[in-house]
Amino acid sequence: MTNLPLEGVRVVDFGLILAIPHATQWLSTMGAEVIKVESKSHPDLVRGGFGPQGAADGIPGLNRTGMWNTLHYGKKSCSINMTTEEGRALARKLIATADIVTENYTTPVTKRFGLIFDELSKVKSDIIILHQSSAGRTGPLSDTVGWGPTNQAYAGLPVLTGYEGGMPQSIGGTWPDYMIGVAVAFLLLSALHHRNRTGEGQSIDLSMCEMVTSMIPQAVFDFQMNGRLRSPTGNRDPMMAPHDVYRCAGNDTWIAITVETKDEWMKFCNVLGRTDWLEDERFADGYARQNHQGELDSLITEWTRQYYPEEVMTKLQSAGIAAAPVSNSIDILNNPQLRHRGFFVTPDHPEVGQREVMSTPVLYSNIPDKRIGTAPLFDEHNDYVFGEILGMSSSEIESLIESEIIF
Amino acid sequence: MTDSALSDLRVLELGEFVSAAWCTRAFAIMGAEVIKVESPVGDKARRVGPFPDDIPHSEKSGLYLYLNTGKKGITLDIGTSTGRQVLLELVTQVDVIVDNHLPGQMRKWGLTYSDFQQVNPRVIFTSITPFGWEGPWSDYKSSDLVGFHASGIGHETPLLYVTDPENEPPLKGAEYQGDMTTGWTAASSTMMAIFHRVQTGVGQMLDVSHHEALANMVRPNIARYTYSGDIVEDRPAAPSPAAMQCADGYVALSALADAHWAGLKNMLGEPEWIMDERFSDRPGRMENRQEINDLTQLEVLELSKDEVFRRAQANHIPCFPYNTVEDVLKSDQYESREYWVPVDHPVAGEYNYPGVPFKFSKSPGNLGRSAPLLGEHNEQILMDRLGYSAQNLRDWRVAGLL
Repeated sequence: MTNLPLEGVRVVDFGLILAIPHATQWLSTMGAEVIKVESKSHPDLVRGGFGPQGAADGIPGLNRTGMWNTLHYGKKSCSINMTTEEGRALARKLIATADIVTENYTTPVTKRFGLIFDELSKVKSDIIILHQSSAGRTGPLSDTVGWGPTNQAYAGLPVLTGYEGGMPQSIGGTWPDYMIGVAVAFLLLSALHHRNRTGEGQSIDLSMCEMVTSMIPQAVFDFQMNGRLRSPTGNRDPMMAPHDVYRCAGNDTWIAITVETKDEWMKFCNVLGRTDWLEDERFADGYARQNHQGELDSLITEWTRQYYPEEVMTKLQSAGIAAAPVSNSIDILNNPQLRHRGFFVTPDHPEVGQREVMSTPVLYSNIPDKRIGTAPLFDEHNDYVFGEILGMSSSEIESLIESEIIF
Repeated sequence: MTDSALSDLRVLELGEFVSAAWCTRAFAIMGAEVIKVESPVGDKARRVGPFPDDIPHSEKSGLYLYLNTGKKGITLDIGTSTGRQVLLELVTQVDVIVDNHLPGQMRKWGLTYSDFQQVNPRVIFTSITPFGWEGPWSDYKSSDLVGFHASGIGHETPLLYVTDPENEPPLKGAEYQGDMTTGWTAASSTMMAIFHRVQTGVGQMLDVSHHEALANMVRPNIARYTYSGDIVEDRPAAPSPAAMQCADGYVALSALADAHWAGLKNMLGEPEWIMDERFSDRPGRMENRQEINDLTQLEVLELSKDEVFRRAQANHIPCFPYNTVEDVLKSDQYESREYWVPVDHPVAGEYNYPGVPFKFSKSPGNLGRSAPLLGEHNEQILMDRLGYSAQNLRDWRVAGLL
């Protein structure tokens, strides 16, 4: 039994809401000790029920939401009032024992709290601090506030996403927060690797808007190469057809299908019993199918409507055609493939009991057991953090609680 | 002292199209040496474009150029026994292999983890596949569209309310968001395996599923169901954040949280409707958000999007304009951060590439050299590194292996 790869790494996490907590969750499952610094005056929004999703069994409480529990299992929680100088001093003491600091306050708050490399490196010379913000920590928009969906808009993604001829649309699921969280894990580990080799800490300034713009290269190049401003094309592709979602039997059920090669097109026509399409000049090759996509898609829908999405998938995949049902949350929770991979785990939480949440993706042949644990109760680890790590006596801690420094 | 975070790592990419290339690109940006192995006909991204004047050319595809900066490129038909043998020799010299061929294909070629492990026990084999190596869907094919929808993220898109589900189907994000997200997932996991190797001295295989990497993007929805019983079967039923139409375009504006609501009151000069009792707390605003958005919309309709953006931000409300690519290429913010990076390519010429979206203060990432020409580094890698002769390369070229 070997240790998890990040055992011995301590992360002091001021991150709020989604992206940063998701990143530190990855580190926690691989053995890092993640200490979330919270405050009663500003509890993380996801503790209070962010968006329409609520608390376990409809009973409100800071430890009860699904959002909180799915993003914080395995972490520790302590509470510090960062709006006071004593609180900031206490945080610096903790940071002096840490490897990594993460935060996503707005820039003015970050500065006020002193969470900047030049300050923190005085107490820990090789500290790594990652700042995540909407538009970056420098430049005319450095002080702006935003969240996933508004940042997508600035970055240029929604004007490319949407129905043909329609208004700009954002990707859902609070995109790009979780994606950025995954990337942040890579950045932190790169910085840690660098530190382990050189002894050098550093700061990382991540712009969410820039991240999203970095993921639309075709539009960026098409504009520069051809002066063309791309517009939304729904689910369609500039090269492939069929390439769309098609209505199936059942309530709001759809199947996604893509046909790429000539061989796949022949197999597709065979499965649909429409070998006559192979002779149809409207559908003779990819180019012709592109030009007659509307007609083709209507004809395909006549066929898909007769079956449930799973049936269509089986028929097409058996013939080697890429197809899968459009899945909602329940479909995902029941998905046989994700179940087979053990993607769901069941923390046993003292207040809300056993409930399934997602693990982190990826199976490691030599790290069979990720560390899951449970999400901390609010300030659950104050004694551990201030007593054990910082060596404060219980009377010292008590007096800081009374003066609302530990708060 | 080094100035690149990962300059001690050597990565071999057996990538086709986007996901594996995106993963190794992250390593290249952080300073690793990345050797990309292409089939003799070249990567699919070379055929996808966009191309200057819309004329296809294997060295001028914008997508290929962008995905493969900072890498070296060789050609090799890894499906032949000679190609396989050469590849395995290369494997002895690398830390990481990133691959995105189907499991069945790799088994057929005799290029599974045990083959790599045999020649290099320290190697980390990061395999990206549609659904993973084992399980009932493991032989199924996929694409960015299919994976996006199979994972649940397509069901959440568009984010704005769907009023006519029959004619507003679940929607895919533009370009290759799914493949790139999977690439990030592979990159982060590979770094975990690097740390594991530092500790243990051995490599391992990482089984990265495109489907699972994307399902990870809707993780709160599962918790909503298991914690509060919300069954998220209906597609998004209300706008959040609202797309507000302005005189010259749209802004994305969201002001339902307490702090932002106070800002909105101030920004709009406290119109009468905003004092409505039903809107006085966050749950009430969530319930009535469509009405709030409609009323807000009327207030901003005749203003420019820049005006609304600036007024909203002055009141600390999360708000940004919906930009086009042309807008972002001119963005003051991006310019001040030197985001756009001119990269000159010997055949395709110079374009402004989206740069590195994160700034490391001590070991900055950079895009590095322009994307390799097809087979550009065959001599350097196969002769100088592996010791094959010019005659070997001539023979292989004739046989179509390179």
